[in-house]
Amino acid sequence: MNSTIVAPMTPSGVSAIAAIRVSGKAVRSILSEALLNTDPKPRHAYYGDFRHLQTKKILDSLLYIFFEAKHSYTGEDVLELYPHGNPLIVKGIIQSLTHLDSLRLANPGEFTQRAFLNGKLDLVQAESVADVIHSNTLEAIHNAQRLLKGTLSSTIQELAESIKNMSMRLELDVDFVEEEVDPDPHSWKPTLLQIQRHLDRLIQEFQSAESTNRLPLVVVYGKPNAGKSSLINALIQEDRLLVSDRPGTTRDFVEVRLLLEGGEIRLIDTAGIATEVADDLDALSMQKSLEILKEADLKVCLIDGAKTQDITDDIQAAKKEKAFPIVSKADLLEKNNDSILHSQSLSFVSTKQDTESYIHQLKSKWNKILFPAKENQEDFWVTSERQKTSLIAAQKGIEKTLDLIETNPAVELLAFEMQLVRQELLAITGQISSEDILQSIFSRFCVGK
Amino acid sequence: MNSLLTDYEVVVIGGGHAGIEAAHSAWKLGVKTALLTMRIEDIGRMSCNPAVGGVAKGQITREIDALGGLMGLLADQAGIQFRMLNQSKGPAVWGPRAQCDRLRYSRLAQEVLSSLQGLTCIEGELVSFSRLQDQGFELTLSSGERLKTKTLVITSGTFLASRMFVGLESSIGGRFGAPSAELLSHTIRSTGIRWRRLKTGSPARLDPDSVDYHECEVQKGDTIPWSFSDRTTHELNNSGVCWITRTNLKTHQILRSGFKDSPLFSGVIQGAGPRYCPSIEEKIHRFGDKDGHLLFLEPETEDVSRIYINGFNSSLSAEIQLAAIRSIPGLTRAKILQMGYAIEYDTIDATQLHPTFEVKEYPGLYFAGQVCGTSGYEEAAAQGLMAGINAALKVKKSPPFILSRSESYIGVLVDDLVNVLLNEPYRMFTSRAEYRLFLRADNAEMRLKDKAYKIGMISEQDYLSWQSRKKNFQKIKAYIETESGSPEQVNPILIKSGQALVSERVRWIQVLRRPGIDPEAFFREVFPELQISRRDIWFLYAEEIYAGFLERQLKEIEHQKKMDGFRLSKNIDYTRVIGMSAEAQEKLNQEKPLTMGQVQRISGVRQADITVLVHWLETHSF
Repeated sequence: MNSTIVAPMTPSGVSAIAAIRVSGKAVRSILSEALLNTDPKPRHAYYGDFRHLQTKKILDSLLYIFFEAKHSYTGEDVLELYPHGNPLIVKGIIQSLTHLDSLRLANPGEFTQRAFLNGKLDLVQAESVADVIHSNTLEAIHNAQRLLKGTLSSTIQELAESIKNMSMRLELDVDFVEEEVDPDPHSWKPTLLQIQRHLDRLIQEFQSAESTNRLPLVVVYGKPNAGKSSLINALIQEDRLLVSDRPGTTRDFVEVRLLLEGGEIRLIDTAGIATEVADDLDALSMQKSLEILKEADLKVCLIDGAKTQDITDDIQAAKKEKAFPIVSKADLLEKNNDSILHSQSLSFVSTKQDTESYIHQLKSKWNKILFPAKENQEDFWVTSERQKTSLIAAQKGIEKTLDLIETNPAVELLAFEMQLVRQELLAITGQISSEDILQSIFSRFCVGK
Repeated sequence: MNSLLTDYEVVVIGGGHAGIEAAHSAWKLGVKTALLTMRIEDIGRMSCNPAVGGVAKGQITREIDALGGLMGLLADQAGIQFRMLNQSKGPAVWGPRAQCDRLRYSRLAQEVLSSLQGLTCIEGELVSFSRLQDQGFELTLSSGERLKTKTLVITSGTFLASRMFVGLESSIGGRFGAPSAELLSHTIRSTGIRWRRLKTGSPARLDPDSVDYHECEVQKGDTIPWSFSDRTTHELNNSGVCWITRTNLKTHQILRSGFKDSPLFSGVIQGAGPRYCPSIEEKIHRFGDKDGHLLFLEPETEDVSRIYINGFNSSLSAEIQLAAIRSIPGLTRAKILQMGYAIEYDTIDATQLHPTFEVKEYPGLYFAGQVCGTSGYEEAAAQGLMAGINAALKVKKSPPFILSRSESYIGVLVDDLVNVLLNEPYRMFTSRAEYRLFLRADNAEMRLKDKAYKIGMISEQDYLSWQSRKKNFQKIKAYIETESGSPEQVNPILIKSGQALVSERVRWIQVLRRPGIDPEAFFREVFPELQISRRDIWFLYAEEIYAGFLERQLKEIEHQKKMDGFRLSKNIDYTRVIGMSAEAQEKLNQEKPLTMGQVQRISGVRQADITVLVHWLETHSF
């Protein structure tokens, strides 16, 4: 850990402000040479000119903050720079710095790794930093932040403590023959069942956390020229897709990200699913459409409201597919279809009339489907595979303990099971660890944290 | 001065349970050994309770025996009542224990030591020692006599600067009626070795004729007694009886009235006492709501010359002790022959020791036994044995002999002692052992004897008989694992133990595994012709019932072994390990651990520090 590391903290691209982090021993010399500040007050924002280390040309006027090792994220001297969000400026600053021998680009997760190695974070906290970065929904961010504050650690410790309180009696019985302890494991069943329920819930939450960390996928399908692209354009309110009146314009998938209230979603526009296939290329793209539909968390079926036939069959077909039906071109709707639409309180859309309020309703409907409110969101805690493995092992251990109690076992066997449960729980908080765990944690970080 | 007499390779200071084992094992390994003690007639004294073994302690005694030590043999010969504790639980936590004739124990120990050709027992008091230039030490006795030795093993027990307390009266002494080693304490303190005061206590001894035994519950030995040693061939004396009585609210009231004169509560005694073996006043003070505490009246000798009140150690004033005792059923007219007392003494901080018991900063100097902060004869003897072995191995320039936590209670004991700073006297409990189901009394020989033989602790004759025992055992094990019994043979056994019957042939081992089977009856009835000892029956049985549980710990044991096998150079300067916490750097520089396994258990060293260290070692070759 002798070298100083640098990485941009913001994604590449144009923005108002970008951020760059530097950590290590060279920070002070960078401050004095590039920013001409030889005695920065720690944790104070300065405004100054950043000079290229060799050419001494001013690259940008920017805001920067120096953190001394004692109070920095990594536990080393840290410099954070906030240049203007022009990729050329960011690149220029980083290149100018990497001319220093002792300075290099940070590996993925390296800032956090250093924070961990310098004792600034415990294992659970380090893992949840990765989760903050990887989390795509508000819920997951919430979740990860709770972990950062050590809530999971304390919950797990409480469970471990509860186990300890019981196994303590077994230990007492074994080691102090004259104490007349007579532990009654049968009376512990309610407590053990309670712990088991607690573990069950944590594991379930883990599973839903896993699904939230994967963005929900919405796939839009419908007959060619039903207006899928128009719908998506209206949703993202920008003309990213090519919209034309000619059927079959969208051959391959177009994927966009959409921010709903509960979090980000992936929205995919498929090629139209035609009843008759015009050519091989069409056949292939239709095949792909069917495949992506299988993965969808929400299928959206667009029904052409302008077509003259009765759309009841189309609506039934969509419902059979468990798809969310939308009738398009509502302004061109035939009379009979209009009443069907209203009687079934379906969504309808017209890109010609009142788009904004319609899109708003649609988003909120999707939000409800894709981000259902959880009964007890506060308990939404467990996020990493390692923690899940230990939780499952602990849960199995509790099961074994409960089974064992039924057989009136020798105390040392019961004590053994309960000890293993405790060890699994304590492993979650990082008290028992090994190198491969660390490796897998750190490999999950994206560039520079 | 006779030069032959003055030049040794190992000198052991003290003739207690640690000293006996240390001198014996060093002698056994063939180095020139002397044992120096204040009084030869005090060698092997049971200063406190007249018993050896118990839960965890009994396992240690069997391990000492398997390693070629003396304690098991001595207790088997001096025993007057043998009980296997915890028999209602599984064999993993059975603890063999023997009530002993304390005078006989001491006499036997002296006889054994004096019979060892080449071992010198010297009566005298060590007052100072200094390091010699060409390694080794020069010792000065209070008589002015000087000895030279390559290594020095100090097993001074409670005798360093010891103070005894009865109420507010205190006296200087290392045991009732014995002097304290004041000058040696001074010498040790002046070396810069860190020390601390600890406290322990002993109960009153009663005149046996003043006890009304019919008021007490009788406790006898097991119907068939278990010996400690598999080398013991004589029939065990199991005639001794103990009695059980109980304190009551009146007793507690009397004791409370004496709290004001208690050296413990008034702060006269500074040293920390053991929480697991509190004085009766501490029990009342802390658990005042209990209406009574069990007391065990134990004979100190076969002819019941004195009665030891187990559970009643106290340092309250003489009249309070007497009044309180006389409020207890069976003891209303009791006469006290020796008052209960507390004793405060110097111990050294054992984290200054290598797991060989050698002082890190003082090569050639060893400490072992109660002076290292433990309590109990068995814990002391185990340390003495290991220190004696390692001092001798050092003289012979052989690699050290260190046992791991996963193979022995002794390994757990040593590892805890040298890595964790004690805040009270250390006693062994089975719950200290991570691999309790494996560290059993029944498999001590299997775990340790071959290892002990390799370094020379087991005589050829003993080894041969161990080999034939092992062979016989394996033959029988293979037999019941491969042979099967018919339903006609098997079902009568199953009926007796309330098990579901079988309709087809079943392998014998599967019958043995069934819950509720009495393994002794099984072998007696099914294989009356097999020559298998009771010891081996239980060993075989325990192996069977714990096998599934042990399998689940194997990975952990392997990991532990790997960590223990990861050797660290003593020359690492941990302040150079960048990224390690300052606390860990300081601790590791102080401790100079020999293995990564040891690093894991040093308090203040976190997992993150270990990760940093492993990473650092990968990039720096040592």
